[in-house]
Amino acid sequence: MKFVPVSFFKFLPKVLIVSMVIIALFQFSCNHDDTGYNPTPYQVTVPKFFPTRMNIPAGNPMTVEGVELGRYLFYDGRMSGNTEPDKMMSCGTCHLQSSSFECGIDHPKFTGGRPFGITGIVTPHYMLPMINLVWNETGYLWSGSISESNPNPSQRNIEDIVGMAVTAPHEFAGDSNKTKTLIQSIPGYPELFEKAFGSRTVTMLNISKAIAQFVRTLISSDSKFDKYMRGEQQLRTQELNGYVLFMTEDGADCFHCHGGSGNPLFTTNLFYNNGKDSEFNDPRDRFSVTGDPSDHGAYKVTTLRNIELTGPYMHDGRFKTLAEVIDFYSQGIIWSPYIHPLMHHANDGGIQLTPGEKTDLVAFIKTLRDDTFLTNPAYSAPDKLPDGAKPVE
Amino acid sequence: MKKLLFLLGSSLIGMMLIIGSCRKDEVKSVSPQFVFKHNVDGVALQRAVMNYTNLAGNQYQVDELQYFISEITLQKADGQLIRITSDSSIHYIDLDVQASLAWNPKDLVPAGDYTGISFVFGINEAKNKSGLFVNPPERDMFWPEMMGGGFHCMKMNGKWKAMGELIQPFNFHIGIGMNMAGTEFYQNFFTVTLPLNMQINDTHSKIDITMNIEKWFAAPNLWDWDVIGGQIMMNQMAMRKAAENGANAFQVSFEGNNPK
Repeated sequence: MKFVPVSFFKFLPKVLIVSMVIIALFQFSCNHDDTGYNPTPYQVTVPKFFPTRMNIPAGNPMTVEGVELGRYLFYDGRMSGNTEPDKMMSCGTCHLQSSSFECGIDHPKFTGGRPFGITGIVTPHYMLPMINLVWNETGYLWSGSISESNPNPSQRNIEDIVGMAVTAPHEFAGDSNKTKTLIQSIPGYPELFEKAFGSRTVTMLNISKAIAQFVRTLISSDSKFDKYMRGEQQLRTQELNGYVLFMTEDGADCFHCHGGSGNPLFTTNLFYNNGKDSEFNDPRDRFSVTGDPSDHGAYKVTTLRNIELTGPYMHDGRFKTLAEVIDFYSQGIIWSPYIHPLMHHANDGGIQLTPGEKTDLVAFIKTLRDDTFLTNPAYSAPDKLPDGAKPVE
Repeated sequence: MKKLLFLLGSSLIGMMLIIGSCRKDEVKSVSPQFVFKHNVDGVALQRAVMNYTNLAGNQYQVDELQYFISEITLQKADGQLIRITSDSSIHYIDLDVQASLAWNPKDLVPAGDYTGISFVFGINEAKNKSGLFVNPPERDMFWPEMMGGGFHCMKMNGKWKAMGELIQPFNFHIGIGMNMAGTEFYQNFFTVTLPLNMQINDTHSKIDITMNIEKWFAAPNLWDWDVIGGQIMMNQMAMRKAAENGANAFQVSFEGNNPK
C-alpha cells in the first residue's frame, strides 16, 4: 500500500483554492461570447385576464435588440429592395398604427381600405388587424393557412409572412436577395443585426425574425372595457346595455365567437361561416386549408379591439361601416348548409335587433377602442432610420 | 472496534430485512389513461351529417362537441376511493382537439381490483369560477359573468330538421342557470357513477368513457327541439332537463381482466 506524503496534505488547501480560482475564471470566460453577442431578453408583460401562454417560436426568442431592429425594418421602405421613392414600400405603408395596423377605409392611397402592392395588384383579401398576435395559436390570414400544421415549412409563422410579403406580387413584388443586399449596405443596420443576432451579415431569415419580434410586441389591453374589467372606469348605461346584448344568447350573442369578459382578445381566433353567402368559390377560405366541407365560406373571426377603425369589414370588405355590419347580423344573414350552428338566427335572417339595441351594441363595441395602443410610441415609426433616412409609412 | 463492527453489521442486516419486508407488501402504482369516445346508439359519431333521429323524431346532426369532465374517482374493491388530482382534476374534451380525446393524468393509481368510477360532468361549484382558464381552448368555454360566470359544462352545436323540413341550428349548451330576474343561479353540473369491475395493472390501465349522444335526448325527458327550441343557455328549465338526461349518457369500458 502506498502512502500519500504528508507534505501533500500540507499544501492541499492552497491547491484547492488555486483550482477553484481557475475553474471560476474558466466559467466566467464561458459565460461571455467572444463576439460580444449578448442580447437582452424581451419580456412580454401579460395583462390582467390575458392568456399566459404565448406563441413565440423557440427559434426566435424575443430580445430588446431584435424588437428594436424589427421596428426599424417594419418602417423602412427599402425593404422592397428599392431606393426610388415611388418603388419603396414598408410594412408600415399599409399597416398604420392609427388604424390598428390596418390601412383604414379613409386611406388616401388605398381607396376604400383595399391595399395593393408596388405594381398595383390588389391583395386577395382585405386586411386583418395586427393586435395581440402573440396570443394567436390558430394560424394567420383569413384562412389560417399560415400555421404550424402547414406542410410547407416556410409558411408557418409571422416570420414566414414577412418573407412572403417581400416577394408577393400584390405586396413588395421584390426579390429577397435584393432586399437583404440593400439592407446590408445601409449604414447602421449591420451593427443592429450584430446586436440582435450575433452577426453583421444581413439575412432574410434574420430580417423576418426581427420584424416578427416587433409585431409580437403589439399588444392592446387598455381600452375603456379593459379599464372597466380592472375596476378603473365605469361604462355608461348605453354601453352596459350593449354589453348585455353582446354577452347573451337571446341578445346579439356575439361572445361565443368574439369573446368578452372571459376572453379579452375579443376573438377565439377560430373560423366560422357567418352567413354572408350561399355560394362559395373563394380559393382562400378555410375549406382551402382543411378540405372539410363544413369549412366552406369560413374565415377567421377578427378581434373587435379597435374595430371602429378597421373598416371595411369581412374578408372581402363588403361592409363599410360598423352599422352595416350590425345590420347584417341583425337582418342580413343568408342561410346555407355550411353556416355555423352558432348563427342560430339564420332562418330569421339574423338576430332582429331594434334600432335602439343596435345603437347600444355599437356603443359597447366602441368601448374596445384602445387609444393607448393607437398612440404607443414604442409601436410607431422611429423619427429616423439607422442611417438617418426617413421611415416610409 | 469490535463493538462498532457488530453495530454496523446488525444495522445493515436490519435494514435489508426491512426493505425485504416492504417489497413483499408493496402495491404497484400504475399510470391510468382515460379515453373519451362518442357514439350515437353504439355507432361512432359521424359529424356534420344529418344521420340521426332522436326519440322525439327530430332528425339531427352534431357539428361540434366540447365539454369538461372532472373529479374522476376510482373505487377499489376494498372500498378505497382514488381521486385523480392532476390538472386541478379537470379535463377538457373537444372533438376538434385530437389530443383532448385521451387523458393521461400524472397521478399514479394502485394496481388492483376496481369496482366503480365516478366523475363530474362539467366543473363543480367550488371550482367553476371565472378566470379558472385563461388559455384556449378551455378559455373559450367561458360562461358570461352576468349569468353566473365560470365555464360551460358542455357546448354541443349542430342542426336539426324542424317542422316543414327547415334546418335549424341548435346550441345545446349547459352551464350555470339563472331565474328570469337574474337574481338566483343554479348549478347544472352533475355526477355520473358507474360500475367498473376492472383489474388495473401494468398492462391494463386504459379506461374508455363513452358518451352516447342520443341519450341526451331520450330519458327521463323526451327532447323535442321543435318544442324546446335550439338555444337553452338562458332557459334553466331546459338545461335542468338536459342535465337529467345527461346522467344516463355515459358508460365505461376497458380492455383487460375482470377482478379475480
